Amino acid sequence: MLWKAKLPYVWIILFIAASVYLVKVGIDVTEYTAQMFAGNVSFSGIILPFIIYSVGTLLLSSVNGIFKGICSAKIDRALRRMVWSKTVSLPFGFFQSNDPKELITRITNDISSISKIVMNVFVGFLISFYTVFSLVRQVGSYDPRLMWVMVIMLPLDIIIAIIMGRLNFGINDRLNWSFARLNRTISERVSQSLLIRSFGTQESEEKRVEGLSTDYRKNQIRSTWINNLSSPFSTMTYCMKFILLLLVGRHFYGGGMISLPEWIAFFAFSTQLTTYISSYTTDWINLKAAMGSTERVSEIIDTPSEIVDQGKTVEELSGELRAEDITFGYGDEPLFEHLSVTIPVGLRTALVGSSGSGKTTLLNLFAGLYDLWDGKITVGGENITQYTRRSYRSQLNYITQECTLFSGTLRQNLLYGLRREVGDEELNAACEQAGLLDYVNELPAGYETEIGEGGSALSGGQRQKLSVARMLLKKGNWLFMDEATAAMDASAKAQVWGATESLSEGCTCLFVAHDRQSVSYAQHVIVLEKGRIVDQGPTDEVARRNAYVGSLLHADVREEG
Amino acid sequence: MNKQKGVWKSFFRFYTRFHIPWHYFILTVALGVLASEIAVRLASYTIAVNKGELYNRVILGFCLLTVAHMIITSAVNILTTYGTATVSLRARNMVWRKILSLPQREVDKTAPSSLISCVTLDVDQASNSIYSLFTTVSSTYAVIRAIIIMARYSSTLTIWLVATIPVIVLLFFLVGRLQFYIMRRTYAAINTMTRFFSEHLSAMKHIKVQSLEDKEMEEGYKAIDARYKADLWAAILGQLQVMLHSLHVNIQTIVIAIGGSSLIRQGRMETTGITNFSAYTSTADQYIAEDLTHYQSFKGTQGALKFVNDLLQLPSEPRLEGQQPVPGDLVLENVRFSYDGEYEVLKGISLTVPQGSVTAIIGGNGCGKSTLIKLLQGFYTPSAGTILAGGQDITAVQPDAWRRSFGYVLQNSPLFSGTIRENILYGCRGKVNEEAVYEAARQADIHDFILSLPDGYDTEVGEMGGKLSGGQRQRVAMARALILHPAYLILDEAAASLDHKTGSRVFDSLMSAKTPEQTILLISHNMEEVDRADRIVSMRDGEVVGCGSAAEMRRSDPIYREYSANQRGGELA
Repeated sequence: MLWKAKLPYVWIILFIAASVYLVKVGIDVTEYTAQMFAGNVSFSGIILPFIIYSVGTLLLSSVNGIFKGICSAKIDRALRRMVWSKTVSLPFGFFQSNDPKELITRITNDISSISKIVMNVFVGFLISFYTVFSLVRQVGSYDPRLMWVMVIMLPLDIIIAIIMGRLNFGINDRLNWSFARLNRTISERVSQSLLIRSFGTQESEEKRVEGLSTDYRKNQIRSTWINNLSSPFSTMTYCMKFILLLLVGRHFYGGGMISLPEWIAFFAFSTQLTTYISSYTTDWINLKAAMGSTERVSEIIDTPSEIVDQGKTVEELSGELRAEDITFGYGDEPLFEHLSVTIPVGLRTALVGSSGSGKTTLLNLFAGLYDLWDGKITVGGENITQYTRRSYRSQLNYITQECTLFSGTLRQNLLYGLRREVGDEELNAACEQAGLLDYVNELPAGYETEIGEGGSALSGGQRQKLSVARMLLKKGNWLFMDEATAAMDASAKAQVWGATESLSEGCTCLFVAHDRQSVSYAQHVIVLEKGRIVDQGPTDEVARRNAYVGSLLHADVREEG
Repeated sequence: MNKQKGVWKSFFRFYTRFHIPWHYFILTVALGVLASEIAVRLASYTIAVNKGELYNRVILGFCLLTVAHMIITSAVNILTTYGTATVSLRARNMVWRKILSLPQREVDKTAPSSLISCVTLDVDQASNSIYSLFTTVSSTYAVIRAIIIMARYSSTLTIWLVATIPVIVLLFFLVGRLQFYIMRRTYAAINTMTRFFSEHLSAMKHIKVQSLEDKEMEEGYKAIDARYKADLWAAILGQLQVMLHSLHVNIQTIVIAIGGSSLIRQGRMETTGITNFSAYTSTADQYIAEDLTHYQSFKGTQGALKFVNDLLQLPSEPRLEGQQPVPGDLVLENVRFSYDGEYEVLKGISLTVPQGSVTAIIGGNGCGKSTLIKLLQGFYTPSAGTILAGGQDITAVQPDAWRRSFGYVLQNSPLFSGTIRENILYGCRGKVNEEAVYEAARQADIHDFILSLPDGYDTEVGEMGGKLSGGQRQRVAMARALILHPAYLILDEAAASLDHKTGSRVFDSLMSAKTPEQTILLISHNMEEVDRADRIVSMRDGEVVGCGSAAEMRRSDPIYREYSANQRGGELA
């Protein structure tokens, strides 16, 4: 997966080079310190170079740190861009089987942990390896046998590191989980405080959160006990290492084989080695946790994209929309079996039926969101699969049930994705037809009013009006509406349906609705039940013979018509 | 200056509001001082090693002290957790109780996310601050001890080193400032990016059907790049921060190197004297850093605690005070109400809802229907006028008991995570038998569906009920209201998200289950339902326009006539 992203190789190399140089300088600083400790205080020989090297290390390590930050940021960006462009091109089915909330963490957190792996584990390995190698070699220059002592003691360092890392990992998991549960409960309840008050259940909510926070405290205490109980092990290993080092020192330094500065440097290097190894081991242990992130991101990368540019480009879609002998389902069971239906041109067609009968699915299939199991969908006799999905869909004007809005201003939302300039006059006209203009005019900021995340500042009715206005601006002869007016009041509905009437010449308008008013505007009705078409035809005829539509519309409709 | 004082005052005030487990903290300080003492002594063994004194005495002493240090530090850690976790728990429960008892109006004013962080994060900061306060004692002790010991070796050099302390403090302040700046910038960038993705990932259907993929790709890249820029800044500033941090160690090292070496050359200090200073300075440094870090976290907590404190000072609703409600007619007399004190949502409503009636309210979006319902339940108090229930002014009735006499179903009633059974039983007190649960579910036309699920009533509904469809969620919410057999049942567009057949079935079963004493208030755009009400009230712009039976309204009420005509299909006429 990493090979597919454009990683900042030049910066990574710069970072490695700076790190290598830093290791060299660090060794010099330690040696000068050792000289100073041993009482060798010649100003020009020791003190001056020591100061120069210390300041140099400080500067160099800062530059190195900046390199590292730049590398991480660039890797993050490269991976995020790759994943996002892939995500956008995934077929719609992927989003149905994956929770959007969970997909968000893939793009935000998972990617950050992957870039950490790259920097700390992969690049980090090269640097750590070089560091250990340099330290050992340096010690070898004092006495070759000291080098072997250091190599033999490496496993002790690794043991210390592993004991510390492993234990922390397991318990924190549990602690985090209990905190997450507390957090979730509280956020769910804070945002539904009206509901709690309306049920008068404050007392039981008090107890619930008290219970969860007591449980969290229990986990905190448990985790501190376990964490601290691990310290005897690491302390013991640490003491053992100290004893060994001093015995070694006694042999070499006491035996006159190395000088005092060399002994001090050797001791300092050994301590540094412990620190290096334990920090690298921690990264290595974290790798396991981060593996989950890699898998989740790879899943997105490995899912085949929906191809939007294959086939003919359709400029002007015309003719009857028809499903011919189609079979389709979500799981193993088909929802539609050999279903055929024709949507007439120039009429408003309502798709009615109880929940779960397949109304929305049929609209989605017409929009080419899923691949059919069998059969074909045609427009004017041409199979829609021969058109590019992009050109086919841009001919459609589909208001989905969710009535999607984005944070930003009213204007931005009205114009989102529109590929032409629109003046205020046209904007006003569209809003007028959608019954939104009065509301916009009342706002101090007018079209520049921010509508909040996902349009949260708007009521259900206003959201739908905005969607309709957006649809009107897009223009086009193919309207699909999925309960697009359900939350509007009666007069707004009348206005909106009036507006669609002016569009209807040569226009295909297919909509799903539950309410009497909306269905009464239909000239043609299709009744779906459990994936089968049980009736279809002109509205008044169907109302006469079909009980469901009849009860929906009442008898007096026909009298007036 | 005055503002600053207020911050400190509310900071300390917070800790007087609940009982602090002092014994843990005092013990922590005592052991902390002991640990500092051992740390100072350990330094003397490091010095011995650096002087080449590799005797058995050194090895044994070092190992014993290391073990002792480990034991005491562990004890300090454990005790600290007991102390801070207890404080968090008490503070959390206190804040949560307060939030639950706030009047709805106050809740509306505050962003939910800040209320959430109050209970989840801010209280942890509060306990950390107490811990910091106490630890300051033991770390300051260690600093002073190290300075005293150093003075024994050379008072001149010690004075030089002490003189660098102000520089260290200054550097620390700079670091803190930077930290604050970086955090603010990074958080803002992360939020922007996360918000973009959370909005757009849930909008994929819209994006696909409108063929907006290219546009989305660009917008996404923009969001990613904003984060990238913030990351680059953080890398540079963060490194500057690290550099300032290590600068103080460097300054001291240089002071020791220059000052120490000249003292040695002048013969005023033993030749291996630098190692003494180096060891004790690093011990002292470590504790000075601890002190300063604590001070910073202190400052950080102040902001959070100021918010918590302001919250705690808001008035609570006297939930359990007042008379017991007596169900009866609901009478509104000239009720006025405004959310913000300027724009009046209700402009003098007078209205009677007889006990046992089915009363429907009709009117356009934003005419004040839902606000009226909220006033009836006492979520808000009218700015003028009175609401009487069974002759009692509802402001004199115990709020909790009053609200429990209502069943309230909204258009999109949320559920809580948990099983279906838990959700239906949500408002129930004491034991409720299984049959009552089934009965409520049957009335809401959801019983058969629940039984068809593999786990039946034990099915988890997910966060906010997300695993159920809108219609299923709505019917569970109805069962949740029905099981309480409320004296007043309010259906606020409750059936709007159900399909026609289910909607009318549920409505029929509600009507047939209604007892003669039960009052049903219905807000609906569906005239079929409205026509079945005994009384219909029409509203426009916060005022009552008409009121009467369906037949009366049909004759004279403009709003009723307009709606009715629209619904019968004005366009076909």
